[in-house]
Amino acid sequence: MNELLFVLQLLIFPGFLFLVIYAIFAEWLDRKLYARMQNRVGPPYWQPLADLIKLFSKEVIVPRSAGYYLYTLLPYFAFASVVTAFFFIPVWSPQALYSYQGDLVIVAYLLTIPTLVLSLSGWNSATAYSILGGIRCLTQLFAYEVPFFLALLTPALLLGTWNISEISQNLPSFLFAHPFYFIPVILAFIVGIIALQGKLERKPFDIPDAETELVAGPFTEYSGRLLAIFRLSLDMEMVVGASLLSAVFLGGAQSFLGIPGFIAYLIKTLIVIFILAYIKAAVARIRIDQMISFGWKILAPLSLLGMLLVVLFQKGGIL
Amino acid sequence: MGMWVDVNSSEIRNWVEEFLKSGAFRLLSTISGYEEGDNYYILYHFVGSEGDLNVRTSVPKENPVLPSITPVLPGGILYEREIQDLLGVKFEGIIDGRRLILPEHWPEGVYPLRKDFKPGEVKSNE
Amino acid sequence: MSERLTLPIGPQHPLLKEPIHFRFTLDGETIVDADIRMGYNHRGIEKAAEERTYIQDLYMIERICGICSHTHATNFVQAVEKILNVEVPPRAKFLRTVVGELERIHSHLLWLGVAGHEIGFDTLFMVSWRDREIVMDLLEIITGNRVNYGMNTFGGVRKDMNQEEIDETLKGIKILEERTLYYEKVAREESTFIARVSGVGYLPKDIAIAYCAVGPTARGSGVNYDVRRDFPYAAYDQIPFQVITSERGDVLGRTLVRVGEIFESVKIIKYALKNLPEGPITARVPRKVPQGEATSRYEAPRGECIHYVRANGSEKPDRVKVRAPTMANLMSIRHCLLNQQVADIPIIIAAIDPCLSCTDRLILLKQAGEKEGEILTWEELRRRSIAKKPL
Repeated sequence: MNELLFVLQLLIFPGFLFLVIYAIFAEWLDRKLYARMQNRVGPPYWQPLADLIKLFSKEVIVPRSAGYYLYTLLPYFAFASVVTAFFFIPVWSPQALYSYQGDLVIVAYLLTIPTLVLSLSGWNSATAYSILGGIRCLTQLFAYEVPFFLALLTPALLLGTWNISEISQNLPSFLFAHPFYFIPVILAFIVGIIALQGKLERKPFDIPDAETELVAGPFTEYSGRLLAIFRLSLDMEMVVGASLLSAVFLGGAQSFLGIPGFIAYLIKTLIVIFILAYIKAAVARIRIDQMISFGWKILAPLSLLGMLLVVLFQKGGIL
Repeated sequence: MGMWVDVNSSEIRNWVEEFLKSGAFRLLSTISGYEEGDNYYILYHFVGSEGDLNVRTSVPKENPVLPSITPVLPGGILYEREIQDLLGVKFEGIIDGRRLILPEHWPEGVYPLRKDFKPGEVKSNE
Repeated sequence: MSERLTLPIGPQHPLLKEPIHFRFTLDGETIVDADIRMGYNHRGIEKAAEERTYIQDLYMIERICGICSHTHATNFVQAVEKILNVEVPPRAKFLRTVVGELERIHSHLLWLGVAGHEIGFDTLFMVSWRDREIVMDLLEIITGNRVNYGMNTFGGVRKDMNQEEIDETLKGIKILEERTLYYEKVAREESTFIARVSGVGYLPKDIAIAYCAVGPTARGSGVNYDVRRDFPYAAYDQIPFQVITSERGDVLGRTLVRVGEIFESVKIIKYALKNLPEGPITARVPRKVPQGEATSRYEAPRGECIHYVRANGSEKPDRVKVRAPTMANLMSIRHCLLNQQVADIPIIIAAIDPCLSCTDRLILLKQAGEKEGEILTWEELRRRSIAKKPL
């Protein structure tokens, strides 16, 4: 009986099905917010779902230059890795479905897989636009990945645990007890948000699929079902990324002010999605070289500064 | 406004070179061509701080060739290529004389801006 | 040795709003060679103009381009008026100027939006195109049409403006001025925007002249040439205005020139409407165009546009040559693109504000072996385009 419940949790709530629905909703919300910020009407709420259904019903075309099996399998890798990452993040209660020491690192790595898959699919499609897009994907990875990891590790270092559920349970009370630590955590949160924007390849970091240069970058040759899987994976990545940040920095699904855990989770992730949409509307796309120097000259030092502050505070005995 | 000057077609490149040497602001607006009698006429429309100047030169229809001005004024390239495509006047010494406007499979020796050309009668040479 | 990749852009590509073909040779992300091929949109207007009467040509030439339609129409009218030796009444000159300047604002706002889109700044695209609606509404008030205004006729303009229309226009212009102040702030201050346009697509002044660049492209490189001031047509000799130039030579320079020109256009329109002379709007024009030839220059939003008209005394012109500003600026593009990054291709191409429908102007080609294509006669086309039932 317990096993059945567990399987249901994995597949339906708070697992797979919930993630898909929430991802579709998040895409709509993102597009709607973006549209409103640009003084447009924006899509109706069912638009992302309609897009997906349309794509699923379309023919899949595999370019002659591409390796067939890799080409058709790659989207599922991205899909699977994002779904797996979601199981480690607390949604309903402060305790995630799966959790053990070190799951923070696992989630961080699982979230790297979609980028690698994108880059590989760009290479595998073997046309000019997709190859350039693939190269850019990988180049960009080096710019945001290190700051992203360092930002996530700041609270972990602070609390001495590498478990997402534990971090999200203990961080708020710890911070209110020791307000000095707000400085490094806020710093890390800002770095995390910006790096997440890069990870999700959104403006100003939508360099790999910059439509005016590379048409659709790595996706250029993808069509039909496979493209739908890719799109869905990216939407889910947005939700997982937002959930991860809210779990690590904002206390995740912990109830506060009498608000139940799940509602708290929704509010916090929506806040993160709102910030992401706001950044998207406010900036122009930067160039890949600017992205690299931004990542290494600003983001990485900032995240290191956050960690340094934590270490100094701890050694300095403010704890 | 508007000065008109006639120049011998074989002299055109040297003339343009001399004209641009002065150092004053001088800009080539465009090159246009038309057909009249037994000749093709080519017009170089210049503009500059002194006013505008139109330089006319003619080439006979049997042998429509004249020196290109692109070695001394690279900005003339697209205009010369356009005339080469559409009027069939050859510019000798042009930097890059490929087709610009007509498609690759357009038949040789058919020039749409000539008066004997009738639209709709072109067969591709593929 | 590094391997080189060829990146084709066009004739169909999201970067291009109109068909043209660029072929880039890349070394990594750096452009080492660029080649241009056009003609995908060539409609043979010059040939067609020889087969139609002057009046028909006027309306056809107006349809060379949807954005700078007033440019081409005025330019053609001016050339024919020169051959006819007709003096246009002052009021008509002022009205032509007003429409021309509104068109310039329209075109520059459109450009700003496109430039924003090319560098991935879609918010700028959306808001500047929203404001462009104001100009289009004003043009509708003044001329009756949002595009292809049909304002010009030989010897003057076809429609007068009454006081109500003048007030509406002044009101609309005021809103535009406020919005433009905001765009200027964006162009000068928004850091990601500046990062993408500053230092990009550098065009030195001497190269700009050697490659015959015109308009904001040339003025953004410090070439102080504006047909409106140097060869005044319409009412520009009676209206004070400044020619905006920038010594920067990069895309930012061209942006600043265009934004500056919007302000100047606003000033010109205000002045012209407040000092609108009384009098007739058309002059008497002889029925027959005598033999002769004339060139006419016009400062289109994108730069100097030149028409050459040759009349042979019949009712049809002997030769009409149209050189749109984009043709002149295309040559400088290659220079700007070399040694730049792939990411900068869109904005560098967009920076000259290419209008290919202006630049490319007949192809009726049957390919051998191809099934006989359907060639519609004018009457047939007309019949098909009339809706069966009123909508």
